[in-house]
Amino acid sequence: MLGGVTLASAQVMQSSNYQIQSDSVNMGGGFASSSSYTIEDTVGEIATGPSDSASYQLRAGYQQMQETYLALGGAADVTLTPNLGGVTGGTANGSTTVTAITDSLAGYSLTITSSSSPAMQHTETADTIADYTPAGADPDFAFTIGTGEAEFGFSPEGADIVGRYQDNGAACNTGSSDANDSCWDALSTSATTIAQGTGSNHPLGTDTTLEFRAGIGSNANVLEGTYVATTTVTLLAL
Amino acid sequence: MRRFTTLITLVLLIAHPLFIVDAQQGNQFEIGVFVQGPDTTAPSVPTGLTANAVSQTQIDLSWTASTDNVAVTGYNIFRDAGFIASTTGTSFSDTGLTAATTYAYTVSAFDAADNESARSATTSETTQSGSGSSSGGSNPTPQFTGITETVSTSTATVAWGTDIPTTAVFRWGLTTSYEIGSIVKSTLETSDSVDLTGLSDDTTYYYELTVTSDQGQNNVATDQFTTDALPDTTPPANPVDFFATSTPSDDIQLTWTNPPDPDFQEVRIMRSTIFYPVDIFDGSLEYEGSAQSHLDTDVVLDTQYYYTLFARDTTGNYSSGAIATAIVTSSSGGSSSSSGGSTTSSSGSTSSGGTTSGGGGTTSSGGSTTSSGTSGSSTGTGSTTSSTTGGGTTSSTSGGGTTTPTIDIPIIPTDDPIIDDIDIPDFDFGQDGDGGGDGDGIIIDASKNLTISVDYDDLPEVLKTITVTIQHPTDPEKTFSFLLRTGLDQTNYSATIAPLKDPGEYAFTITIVDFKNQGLKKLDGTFLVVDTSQTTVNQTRENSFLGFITSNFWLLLVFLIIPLLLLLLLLLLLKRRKEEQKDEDLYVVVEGWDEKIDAAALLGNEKGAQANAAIIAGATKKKPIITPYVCLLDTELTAAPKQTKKKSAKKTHPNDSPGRKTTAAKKSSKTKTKSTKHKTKKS
Repeated sequence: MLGGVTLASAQVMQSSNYQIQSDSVNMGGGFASSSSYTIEDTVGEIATGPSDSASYQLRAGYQQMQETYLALGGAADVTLTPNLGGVTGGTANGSTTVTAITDSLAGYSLTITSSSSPAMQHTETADTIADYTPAGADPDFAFTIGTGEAEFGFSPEGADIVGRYQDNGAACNTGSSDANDSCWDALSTSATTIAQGTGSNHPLGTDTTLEFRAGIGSNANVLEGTYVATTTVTLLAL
Repeated sequence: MRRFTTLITLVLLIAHPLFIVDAQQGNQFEIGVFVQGPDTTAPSVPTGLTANAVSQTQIDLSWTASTDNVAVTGYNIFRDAGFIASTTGTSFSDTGLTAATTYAYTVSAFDAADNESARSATTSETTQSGSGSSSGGSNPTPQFTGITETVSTSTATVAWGTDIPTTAVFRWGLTTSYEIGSIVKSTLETSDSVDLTGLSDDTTYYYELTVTSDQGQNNVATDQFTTDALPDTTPPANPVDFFATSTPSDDIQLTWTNPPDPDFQEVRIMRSTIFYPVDIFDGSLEYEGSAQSHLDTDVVLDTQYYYTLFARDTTGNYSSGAIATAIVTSSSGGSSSSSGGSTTSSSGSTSSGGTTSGGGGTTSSGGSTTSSGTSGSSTGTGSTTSSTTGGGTTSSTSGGGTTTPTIDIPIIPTDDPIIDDIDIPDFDFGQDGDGGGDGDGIIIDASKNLTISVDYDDLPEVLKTITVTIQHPTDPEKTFSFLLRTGLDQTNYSATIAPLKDPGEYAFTITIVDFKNQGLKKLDGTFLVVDTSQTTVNQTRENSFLGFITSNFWLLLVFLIIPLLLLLLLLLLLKRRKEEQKDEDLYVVVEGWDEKIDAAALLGNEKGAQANAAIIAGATKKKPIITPYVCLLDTELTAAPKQTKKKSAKKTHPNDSPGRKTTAAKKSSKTKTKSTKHKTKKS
């Protein structure tokens, strides 16, 4: 954008349509004077960009050190317990908590994806445990499977969970509550936003707990063995 | 001016994604679950099965949880080998049972695949049969839930609780033999107690508490308690060597020695210008503390001050009070007087404020010294010192011109018979609770407190107090006075003083004072203070001997008198025997006879002739003739009385008719009897 506006200073700006992280006035330098003042000014440079190698990282050029802090921690492998009876069925549960930290004024977005579909894959065979299927478009408030079904789902809990996983005590995607062990959904190979922050939470961050549950109906007859769902949680700065 | 063109380029740098390094972060992790095949593994066998009969109809079961490769779903309970119930927990209450009946229980675990473990070991339990309840099995031992002791000086309550109803036996004593007694509590109770009375204060008692359940199971607890000590009502001894003396600055220096009582705390000195303060509120407080001297600086010349020093113990008991008095006189040409005093001095008197007229320094009468000091002609600076009355008690002065009179209370004649009767023997001198002796001649242990007392009833009601002044045996100037005070019970007047320490014979003076502060009577006496344990031993021995004599007087009397009586009786018997022997001699010795008894003629037979010969022979030898013939002869003859036998015999003619009896012959029955005895012996 060009303009004949002289800015005495640069600042971060934002509106409902855009955000300006940094701004800069680049103009021809030199000496100028008038009856009332004399100025000797310079102009900035166009960024030259970063360059990395195995041994260093270089942020060369004008405003190259401008960046947003972003950190995601805490995610760990989860083993659902107890073991599930392949014939008799049962329910196994587990969870992990991730912490999203950002100094982005716009906040962050936390998404989850599975590496495969369905997520739960037998480690030795092609057998799977199906992804959870909510009764409707919204997550199920309670984890429910039929006696002949075996499904695997997740339920996020935390202060920044998105509306889809909030509830009113009986149903999800409505209300503003966050009942524990509620609002079960299926993992997808597409990113599913589970939490979203609206501002900087640096340095404490915000926790989001991911609860996972596998259920096998009494007549599901799931093949014995270990099933694994490879999952990725992604933090985006907004 | 230089002209130039400026190109302004405004670049809006949009944050995302251009300027964000690591604009996103992704954490990948795995979620795993193990799915088992058909479950054919049974849970482990339950262990630790216990059964507890809590009533006549209920037995509670509990056991340790089993494990399973998947999960344990529940447990089956069997009674007497029969299934009775399933439960998901690890305990179960079996109800509806029959009293006093034994049941056998086992438990098995199962999982969701209906895999069932083997049954646990069997545990049997019997429901309760009688009243009450039990815990811990069919024959549980009662357990104490608490034992408390509440004591006073003479009572104690021991309370206890048990987890099941029990009877109890409580035994107690001064030793672990529990020799004092026992209490039986025959009612089944879960809490009970015993009350013990008549206990001694500050005494440790041991007890044994045996509780017994209705099943006969016992539990025994042993412990001890100590009764509370009685409140300390014994005052400390009076301080000794309480003296009031002057100082050159016309002050009065008070000195004393605190008593050795362990609970001694401090002294309280009260001062009065009227008389000796008789209690701790009488007069004005002069000093209170634990020091052993005090300087009274608030002294007015020519005013006699009376001090009473009370010792206080930590409980708040006060001694009867040691007393002293002093006066600082102005120089008035020797206004004070003394009689028989040993010392008076006034040299260098420097008291100020006094009024001296005539100078002359000080004067003492009977004293050995008169000196003229600086006060001789001065005005207002002279002072005098006086000493006390005779008898060796004293007051002495220093150059300050003050005086310390001894306790010399004038005696007012009285006709009160009680006063007349009171004497030294009415006073008791005791140590360590020993009644000691009365009056003169008593012996005091130098290392012990001395208590002097007199019965309240021995003194008139008008009495106010009694003062006692004790004089040191070797230093006559050293006197020490104190009060006898009556207690609340008004049984006596008494005072206890600290050990006198120095051995010797102490003279003392007891002065009885009425409410007008007038002396009613003065009694003088002495007692001996001994210091060595050897003396004490000897004294003890002596006392022991005397005590033995006293306590066993009647027994000794019996044992002495009876032998004496027996001895006297024996002597009398011997004497009588001797006299009787003499009588026999008189009787048989017929030497004095002029005429021979012609027994043959008398008896007219041969035996008579023999007897006659024997009599003659015996008479010649002066030996008793003890023969039947004599008796025979005597029988036939009528002898004269003993005393006059010889004489009477002379008057008895052998030719007299045998049937004729003279007066003398009539009195010969005694002699006749004796002869009969001899006859008996011989035969």
